[in-house]
Amino acid sequence: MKLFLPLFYSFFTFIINLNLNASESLLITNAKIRIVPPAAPATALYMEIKNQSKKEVKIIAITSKEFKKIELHEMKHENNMMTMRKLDFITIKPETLLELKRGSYHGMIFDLNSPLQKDKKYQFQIIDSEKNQYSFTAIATEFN
Amino acid sequence: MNKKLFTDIFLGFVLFSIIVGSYIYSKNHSTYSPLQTSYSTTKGDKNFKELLTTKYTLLYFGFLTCPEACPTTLNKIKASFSELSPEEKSNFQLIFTGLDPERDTLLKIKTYLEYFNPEFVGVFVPQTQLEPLTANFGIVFKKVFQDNSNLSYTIDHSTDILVLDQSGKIIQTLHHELPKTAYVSELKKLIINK
Repeated sequence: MKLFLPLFYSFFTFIINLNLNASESLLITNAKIRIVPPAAPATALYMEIKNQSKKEVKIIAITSKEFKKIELHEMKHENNMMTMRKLDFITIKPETLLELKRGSYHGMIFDLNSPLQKDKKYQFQIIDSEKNQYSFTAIATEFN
Repeated sequence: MNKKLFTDIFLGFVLFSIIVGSYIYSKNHSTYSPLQTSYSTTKGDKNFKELLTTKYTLLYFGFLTCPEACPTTLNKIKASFSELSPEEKSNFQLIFTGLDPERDTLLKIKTYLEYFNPEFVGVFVPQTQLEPLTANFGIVFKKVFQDNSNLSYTIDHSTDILVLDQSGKIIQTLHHELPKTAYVSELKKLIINK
């Protein structure tokens, strides 16, 4: 009995991980789109992404039916200089939380043809290098 | 005779050198003065000297496609001003100078700034005048082209806010990473120390 429970737990966990399908590998939470002033042609998309799997996941794109052009970008602030560069992918290590946040990675949304509505929810999908899709909702938020 | 001739030649050579040297010096050292040069601003065509109407001016350089540094900074300044009393606030103004004349027209700058505070002043600087203007204030910026991006180019830029007195002299620098409370504290110190 003493051995049974640990063995059963290990076996149970093993089975659960085997059954963890691709759509559950990434857990996306706290997604927000930054509300920017009129005349600002682009904005940033932030979120927390937890890689729940034991495999590295490579995010290659973020898409949305509501925004035609979205890219992965990285900001760096060093020596009082702000820089921003497009990325082809962002890698999330196994069982790790990655934040897309200010001063770091973000989704760059282009061609804002109309102002974002505060608290409105927008639908997105993250696509990884194995073509898995992860849907999530981001809320238009003012950042002060 | 030879001595006189030698002296004349020598003096002529010295005079010639002074004239040529002065010409070369003046060519290499521009008399450009950002305070005197007229720009298109949200307050009409003005030079910086005419814009420095308040005791202190917060001067910031940015561009409208910037998703983070610029809106964050302008929000912070807006929030800092709101922490001041009307009397305290009357000592300050914010001037935003565009670093992306190719994409950011004066009208777009005006619309952008009005979102934060309609009293924020916008300045449009033509590409040819940006380099000497920013160099004069110690601001660094660089246009960086990006392959395979909807953003054909981005602009790396200094994030400091310069505080100028009415003569245009930089008397303080507010760093980007400081919180709003630090900005408010520095602004109040300026008023006390006037």
